[in-house]
Amino acid sequence: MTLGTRALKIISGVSAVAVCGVSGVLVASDPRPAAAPLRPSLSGSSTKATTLVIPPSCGGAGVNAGGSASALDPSLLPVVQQLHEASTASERRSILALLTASQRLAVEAYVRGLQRMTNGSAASCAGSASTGAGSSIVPSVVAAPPPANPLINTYVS
Amino acid sequence: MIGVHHSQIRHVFTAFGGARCEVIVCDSNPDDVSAIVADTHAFERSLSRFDLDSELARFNADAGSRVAVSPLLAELLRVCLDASALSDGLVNAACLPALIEAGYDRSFTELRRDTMTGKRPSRSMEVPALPDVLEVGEGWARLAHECSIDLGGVGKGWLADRLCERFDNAAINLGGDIRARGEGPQGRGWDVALCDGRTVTVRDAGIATSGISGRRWPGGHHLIDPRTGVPASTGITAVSVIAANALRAEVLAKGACLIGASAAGSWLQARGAACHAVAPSTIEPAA
Repeated sequence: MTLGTRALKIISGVSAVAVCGVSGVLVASDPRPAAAPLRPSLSGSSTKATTLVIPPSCGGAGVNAGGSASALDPSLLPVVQQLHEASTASERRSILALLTASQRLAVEAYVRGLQRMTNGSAASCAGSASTGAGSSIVPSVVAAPPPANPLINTYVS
Repeated sequence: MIGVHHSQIRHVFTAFGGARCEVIVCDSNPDDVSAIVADTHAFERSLSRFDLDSELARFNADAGSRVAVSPLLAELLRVCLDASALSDGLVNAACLPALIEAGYDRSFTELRRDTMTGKRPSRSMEVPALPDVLEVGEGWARLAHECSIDLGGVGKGWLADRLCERFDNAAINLGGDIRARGEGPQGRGWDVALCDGRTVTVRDAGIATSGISGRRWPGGHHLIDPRTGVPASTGITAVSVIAANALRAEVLAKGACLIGASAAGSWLQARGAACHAVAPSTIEPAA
């Protein structure tokens, strides 16, 4: 069977109308997200905050100590980023010097929480002993004659 | 050969209820030392069980409820759980009710002043396993009803590590919990005297001493054995441990003190202690 040019034009026109109609119905019936921004914010604080989003901890809620970092005052998040980018101890001290004592402690605790997530969460989930960063570090004890006057005396804590 | 000599600042102060604290930093400035002192006092204010306004005291008062916690308290609570795991439950922050029952119911400075302290009999109190009574989540924590937490030396060890890690060459001693980094003022490391009178030189390590001779009062001392619920009596006066950091050294020293003289050596060796000293014995390098 052969179709003439006119018949083919009619069929393609009807098909196009049908496809557009169905698509229109589907789009109209699809609910829009209630509050999703169409364009992400480009302000500096927002971009810094998004770099510090914490993935779910290994255990989630209900686990004794899933490696997670507790909420930090958002105004201190840029400081965390600066500490991360600092390459020397002196630079890190200069950054911390701008904070109050409580803020310094909060930031360092938060950073430890992040490190726990990246380094120690598996160990925490397994219940093994991951106290601090240390289990893999071997301290060096110098085999030298003991001095008469040590710098520091340890005693019962 | 020209000897190495770094400029150093040394400062001694008191914190943690009368404990002697010492800071030695090389190639640094007085402002950095001031920050260490300020941070130590801020840490104590926030996490002292004796200050009813501290976050830890409020957390203890809210036992039974899920409460919001700061990053600092959350981190320290997780550290307590880690310490419990590392020590097979011997280092147990939930021993506070037993510690109070033993007589340690006020700051040690007040305790020393009070001549009546310790005259009451101490009864044994069951100490629950910490993981059974403490949950820590993201920004919240929950302590089981009628339980309470004392961070003890674990808090000092954690803080000594954080403060010392701000420097390339420094030693921080917070009441016997020591963290040292770098080559020291003379370039040969940091000389540290242990509880048995011996001295070791370390370059990057934590050193802690735990025992029953320091914080004691008539009828008791501060080292509670969670297995018995009363002050420990294991035949050890004190144990010094050298480990990778102050926190680990603190946990191991306390655990070794509790586990007793005969088993302490193998127990420490299995947990990676570099070496240890048991008073009055001599230092025993780990194999």
